[in-house]
Amino acid sequence: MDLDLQEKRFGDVAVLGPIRFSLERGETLAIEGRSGIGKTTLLRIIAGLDRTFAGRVSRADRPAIVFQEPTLLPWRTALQNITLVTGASPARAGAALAEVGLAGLEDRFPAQLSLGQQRRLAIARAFSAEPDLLLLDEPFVSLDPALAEDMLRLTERLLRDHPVAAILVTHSTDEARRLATRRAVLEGRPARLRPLTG
Amino acid sequence: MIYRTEAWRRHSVTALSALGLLLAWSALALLNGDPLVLPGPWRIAPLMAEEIASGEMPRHLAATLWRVALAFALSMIAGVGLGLALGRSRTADRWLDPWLVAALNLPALVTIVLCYLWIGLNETAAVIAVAINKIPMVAVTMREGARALSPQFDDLAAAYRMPAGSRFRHVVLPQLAPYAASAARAGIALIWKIVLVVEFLGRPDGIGFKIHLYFQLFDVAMVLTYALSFVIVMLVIETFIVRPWEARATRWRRA
Repeated sequence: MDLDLQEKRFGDVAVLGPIRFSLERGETLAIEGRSGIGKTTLLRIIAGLDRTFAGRVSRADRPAIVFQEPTLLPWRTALQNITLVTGASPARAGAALAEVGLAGLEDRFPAQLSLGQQRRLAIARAFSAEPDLLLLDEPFVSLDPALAEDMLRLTERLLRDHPVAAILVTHSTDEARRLATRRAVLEGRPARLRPLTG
Repeated sequence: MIYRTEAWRRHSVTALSALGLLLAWSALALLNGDPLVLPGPWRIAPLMAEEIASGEMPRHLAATLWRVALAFALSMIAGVGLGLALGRSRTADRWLDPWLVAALNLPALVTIVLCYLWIGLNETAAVIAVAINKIPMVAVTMREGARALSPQFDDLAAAYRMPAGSRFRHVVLPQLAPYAASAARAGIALIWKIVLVVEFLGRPDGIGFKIHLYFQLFDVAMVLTYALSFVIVMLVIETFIVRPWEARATRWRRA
């Protein structure tokens, strides 16, 4: 995955300045930064959801994204939320559900799942896509500490078992240290990316 | 079990309410005392049975139902397409909104007469006249639905590169279902009434034609016989087609 961003503006305001990086399979880049600095905007550019920017971004063949909210189709079952969105076969989707501890809940609608189960389903969906680029947009934000820790462990395990190029947007240094192979912080106005060590 | 008891109670209330209506009609007929002005249900029921047995009523019912079905399908397809375009594109909405307002305020009678004058006294004119009356209403409802589409789900579908057909079927349509159901329900209720006017003015068959015929003969009993037969058919369609479909489409809400 290659990004060569010159600038992103909202009206007259330049939100993101020049940002350039590449990412290989098996690498996880954590992008930290305070709220409102432009982390999600950067992720949306990489995901192809925002095309109004100056620069260039390579297009992933099979992207997957985990949003801040589970973003599940409430009118489709857990299994369909995976198969219909990612194109995964029912067998692969079933295996992904089992991998995140949701075996036996394939026919439940999202409203019949707890918040923790919904988050697990969102992660299972992302990995079912067998992505070449996985984007995680603050996936543990607004969770209580026990649930956040549970999800963090699950994601750690999945990233270990399925090496993909991944970008994690977070404001938690602890999350970044545990999940990422590289870390960087988004700072300044317009925001730029500064690599972090340690 | 609770659901069944609830459904049973609802059906009982509906049946009692219908019975109340029959009683009120009977009371009025008795009070009036002139069967030429207001015949009671006991006079209409045998007439209805006779017309069914002779094959006359099924023939005219079928003609009217066919027109209702065609006009309904046409107005839903065009109305949903137009409503989606207006709800999703601000430019289209700005340009076409005045047209929509004008169309909404055009009296049904004017459209029917103009269609007959321009196209001729034929089936095409009849169906188009009815559809033109309904399309703006469907479009307005669907425009609201399209405006209420969740950007979150748009992002989800775009990020995972869902194919357009699948996106429309599994992401967009379910969000529009309540609006489509509302437009369809209001559509059927309005369309069959307009179809009767269309038939009244310029068709050689259908319930509206029969009502026109018996109106000229001042035969109130036959007017009521044909009008009621169609009300019953529409109630059956509402109960056994529209409601079950709506219940199935919104099953996930009760899960």
